[in-house]
Amino acid sequence: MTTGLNLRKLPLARIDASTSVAPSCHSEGGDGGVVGAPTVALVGAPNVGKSTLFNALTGARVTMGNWPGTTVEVAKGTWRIRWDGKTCDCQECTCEDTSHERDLTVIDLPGAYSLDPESPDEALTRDLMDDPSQAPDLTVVLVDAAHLARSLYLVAQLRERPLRVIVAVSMLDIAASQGIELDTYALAESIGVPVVALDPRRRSGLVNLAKAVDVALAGPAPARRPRTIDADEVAAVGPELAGEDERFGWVEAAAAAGTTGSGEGRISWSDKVDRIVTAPVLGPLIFLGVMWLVFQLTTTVAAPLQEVLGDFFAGPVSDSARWLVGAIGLGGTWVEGLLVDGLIAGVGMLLTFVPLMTMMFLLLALLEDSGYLARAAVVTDRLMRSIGLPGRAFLPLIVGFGCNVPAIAATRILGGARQRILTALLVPFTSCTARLTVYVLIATTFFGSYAGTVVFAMYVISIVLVVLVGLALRRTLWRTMGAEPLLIDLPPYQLPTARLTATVTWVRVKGFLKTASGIIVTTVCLVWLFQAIPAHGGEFGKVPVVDSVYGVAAQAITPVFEPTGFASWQTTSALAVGFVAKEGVISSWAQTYALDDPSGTGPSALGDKIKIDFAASSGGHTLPAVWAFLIFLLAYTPCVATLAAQRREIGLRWTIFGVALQLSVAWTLAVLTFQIGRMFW
Amino acid sequence: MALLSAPLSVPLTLVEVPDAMRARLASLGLRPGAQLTLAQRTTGGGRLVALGSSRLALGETLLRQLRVVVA
Repeated sequence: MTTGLNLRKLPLARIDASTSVAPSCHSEGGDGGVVGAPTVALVGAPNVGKSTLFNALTGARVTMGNWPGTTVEVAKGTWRIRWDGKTCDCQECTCEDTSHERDLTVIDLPGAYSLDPESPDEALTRDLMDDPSQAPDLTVVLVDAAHLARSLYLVAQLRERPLRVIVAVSMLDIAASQGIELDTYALAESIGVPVVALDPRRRSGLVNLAKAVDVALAGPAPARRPRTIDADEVAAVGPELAGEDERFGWVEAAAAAGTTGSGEGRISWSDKVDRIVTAPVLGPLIFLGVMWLVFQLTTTVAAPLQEVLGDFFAGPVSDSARWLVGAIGLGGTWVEGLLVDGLIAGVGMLLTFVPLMTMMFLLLALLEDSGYLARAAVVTDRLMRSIGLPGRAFLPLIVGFGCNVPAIAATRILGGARQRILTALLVPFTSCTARLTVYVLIATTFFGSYAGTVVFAMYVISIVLVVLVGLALRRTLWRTMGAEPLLIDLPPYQLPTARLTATVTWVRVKGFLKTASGIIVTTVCLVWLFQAIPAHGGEFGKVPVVDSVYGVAAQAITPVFEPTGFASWQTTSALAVGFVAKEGVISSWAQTYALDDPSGTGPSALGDKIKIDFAASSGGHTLPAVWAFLIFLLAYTPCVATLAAQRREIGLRWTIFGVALQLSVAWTLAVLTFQIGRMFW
Repeated sequence: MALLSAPLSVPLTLVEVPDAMRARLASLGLRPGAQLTLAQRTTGGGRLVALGSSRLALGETLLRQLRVVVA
């Protein structure tokens, strides 16, 4: 077996060993590539390691974003190739010193099996390749050595276009373990473009790829592959089928030339594991175990860290800032308020999510990289299909019960954009732990020894809401979605590599911080600002919440809640604070009641005040009003961090749609609960 | 026979695929003439299909639409 760069067709006679490939450490055009640099597109089927190769080439200095005019997410980055020393065209001629650095812009296109678009993701790849003004200068097709024939269909289609193509073969170790050996020389001869063997997970073979790319960019695009389509076949089955058959013929010939051994009939350890994890009864049990572990790790490991960080910002950091502001003579002024209650509170809130997000992304990367996620999708497929979602959507929805923010981020494991949007719209209806604290306060205040049952009921209602809203959206907005039958390609299990897992986790956490920081910090600062501006005269920054613009606005919207039975301004302003973060609901209540009557302290005093308020606002129908409040709390917008995550994953338009959906569902259900409930209680 | 009613662990030849999914199936190697074996039943009534070195999970709906003969 030969591996490495195929040089037969390349002008290089010798590879300079001193050539190195280094992830770019800067780029003139930002991390989204260098302006004017040649563009290299990475294409290939899902799960061949395309994004891993992209990360290895660019060092994760990338920008993620939707391709203009589409919902398809594309990553762009800079790949810096360094050439040290001399490169000769041949041994007789003079060697030129070709030491130079070269920056290339790399685009990681979505996974595609072919250029026949089955989804917006695949359509984007086809459109780019067919449009000379947008086509990349060179296309690297990453193919899977263990499934060569399948991977080469895309190569066959690309070779019918006037494009520079390089085939990079990965998964040679898996192919070898299945008895398949690859001959890169023979394969290159057969398909007419250079072939490079590499392993993106271990970052080997990248130098050879860099060489091949540099050489190919210097030359013209190779001639298109000749096609001989049988006229009789065209007459018999039509031009499309006949064309496809010709391609499969070409693919089979190339695969036969490039590999030995078929890999058939071998039962690998991967098969043995599959017998257990996809089995009818054991499979779901194992899946539940894995989900429990994900849930436990995010809550028991990350949540305490989140608390520590929260305390750190609310304690030492805020205290030091107050001291500092006091030391320069601005203590007690609006400057202190803006700094401590605005900026530090906002940045603190953002950073408290970092442990949670890191843990979530780490676990996702491990599940994805190991190959288990594809099995989990098989196991949960039937259940999720009932609400029009693929099995994979189960994971974000489960995670949502811990925290909605990483759950929204987890929707990226879904292949289709529409499924991603639908799942991201459903996640806010999963009851996160921040809402739990409010349930517990209300339930213990109003339901005494039945508090536990009431809290449990909230979780049941949450699940029912997810299913009902899912069904409603599917029957209205996405009537055409979800009919595709289950067809999943199961990648072989692999041991996740530490480097890859760390890189993927870092890129995702960085992306979250970048997108969420603006929204969270701005919102917290705005809330502080509105609470600092007096509505009817008074000094800026020294006004009770009730007399601030914020308090007055909360009172103004209170009539909207009249039919829900909980229309007191203290409750509505607590809900308004809860829009920013549910953690703020209880403290807002405590704050507004304390301002009314500074002598009342402690949870029981708070409970009593809430009781009096609910009794007054509901006209004596307290319990229906409490249920209406609990349901409203469950269904309306969880927090601004969730909105920030949604903005990142599904865009601004759908995020706004989501907010409108949550508010209308929450209000309608609250009104129904109170109006029906008060007929009986 | 439909792939759904085919026995497990027996070499099969695919003879017919639904027109609507022809391209998608072909890109995964499921073309008429392909040799495959049903490796096992999965949760939800599906099957795990061994096709060369690939493993594909197919749902019940699709299994009904694919026709095979024992090779």
